[in-house]
Amino acid sequence: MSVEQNKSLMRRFVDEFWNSRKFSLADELFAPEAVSPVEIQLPPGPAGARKKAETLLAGFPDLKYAIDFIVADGNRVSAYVNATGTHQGKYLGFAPTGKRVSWSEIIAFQESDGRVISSWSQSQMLPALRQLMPSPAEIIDLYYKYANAGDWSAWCDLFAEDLVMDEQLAGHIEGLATLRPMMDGMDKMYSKFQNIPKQVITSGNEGAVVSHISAASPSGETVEAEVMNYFRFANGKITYMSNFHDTAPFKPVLGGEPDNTKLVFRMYDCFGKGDMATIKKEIFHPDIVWKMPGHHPLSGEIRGVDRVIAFFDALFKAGIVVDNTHFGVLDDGTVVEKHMGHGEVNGKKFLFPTCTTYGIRDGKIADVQVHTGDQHSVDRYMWAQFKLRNIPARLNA
Amino acid sequence: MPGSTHEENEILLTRWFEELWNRKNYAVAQKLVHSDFVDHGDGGQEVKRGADGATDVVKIWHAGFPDGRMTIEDIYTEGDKSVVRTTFRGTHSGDFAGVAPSGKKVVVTAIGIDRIIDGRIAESWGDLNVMGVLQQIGALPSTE
Repeated sequence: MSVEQNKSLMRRFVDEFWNSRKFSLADELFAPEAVSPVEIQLPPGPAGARKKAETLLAGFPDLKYAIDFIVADGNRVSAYVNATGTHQGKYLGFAPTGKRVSWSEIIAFQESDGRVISSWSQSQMLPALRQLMPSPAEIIDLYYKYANAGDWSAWCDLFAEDLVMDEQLAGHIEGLATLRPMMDGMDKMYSKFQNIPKQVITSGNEGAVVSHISAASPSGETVEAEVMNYFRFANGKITYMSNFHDTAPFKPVLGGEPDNTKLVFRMYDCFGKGDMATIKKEIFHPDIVWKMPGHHPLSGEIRGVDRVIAFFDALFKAGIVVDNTHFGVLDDGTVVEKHMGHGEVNGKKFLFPTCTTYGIRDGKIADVQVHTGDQHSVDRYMWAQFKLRNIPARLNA
Repeated sequence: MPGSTHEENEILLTRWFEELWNRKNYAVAQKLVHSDFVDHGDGGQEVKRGADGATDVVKIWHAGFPDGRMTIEDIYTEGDKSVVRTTFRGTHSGDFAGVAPSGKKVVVTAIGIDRIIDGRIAESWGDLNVMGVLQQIGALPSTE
């Protein structure tokens, strides 16, 4: 192609593809294998030009280019262009400001058979970007606004990619890629979260805020805490943040190790009150298994919530009284209950030293094993208490 | 000598990058740069700089990247204007554009257009990729 034809190709790219938004023209102007050696984030071929337009026009929907001059030689052509657009959408993570900005850009093509095979572009966009960057005071304002709206995605956008954070509860955090997934957990951690600034101080690229957090855990336990945040900023982003507060008020939301013994206490409490609905709904896992050792009418593996409840009913009828009960939690979260059972049949007293282990799954009692200290006396006692029906009535149909 | 050839212009620009940028021979700027040298800043506006102004820009880059090297990838000329495509490689071991040393190695490409008058660089557009550097040292978000 001649130098004039290559200049015409450049003019069509700027005037028609960009300014007239004729994006299908890319198929005519770019070879399918065209590369953008500098902008490696772009796909090859015409799709690369369209992807670039999509990203830039998302931030500046009214963008227009004006060609200042074109330089061409052989199969190479470059244009010096001036861009003007209004910042109406998010660009480079900067929230829309509505500001009208301009920058210069050099677009360079290498042509073969009338199509672009390599393209380079360099935007002198820094002064324009500086106009879009929020000031430290504006960033602080947005920090609390987004947090209190629960918009953690926009909140994360306020931070630099290589941020460092020393968070009182979460610890030392580096990088936006680490922070984002952590913030996804906020909705599970809090049913309510409000952080209201009381004092805001900024100085140069630093800032400090005293605020008050009023929050609630998913189960409705409240958190009230006085907090101070320290910020450092660069290029319109938060590069460092640390916060300082008493940890104690946050106990309701700091899951930590759940106290599984409370679950077993609740089970006994519900049995005592006859509240089987709560046991079924909140305490027993749907796949609960209760394993009772021995060779007696109540021994075996009892599976499922309804059968375990029926089993308990039978156990009460056995008239065993329990005392000297103690609880502990093993390293895997299993609750151990140790007790002494007492029974009496025809004036003869029985002692049943017993352990029961409660395996917990999904926060519910799932796998219960009774460990009997004296199996023989349990068997004798149970046979004295329960009589089996005659065959065939005692066989299951 | 208004009639300098394409070849002469390209030799001039090669010397600018090789002697000034790579060998830090700042004095040579007086021979290569026109006394009325004008640089078009980031927004396209004219910024008068002269030979000393042009040299100061190079010194800023050397302060941030003492081991910085410029490689010319392509150079072509039409009339009195030459397009130069370069790659800059260096380690961010000094302050640059207000960003403290990160120790990061950067590789940025740039396109500049220079106008040659009387055998000297008289006007320039583009040239350096500050934004690309700031993105690579983590001071600006990456372009999607």
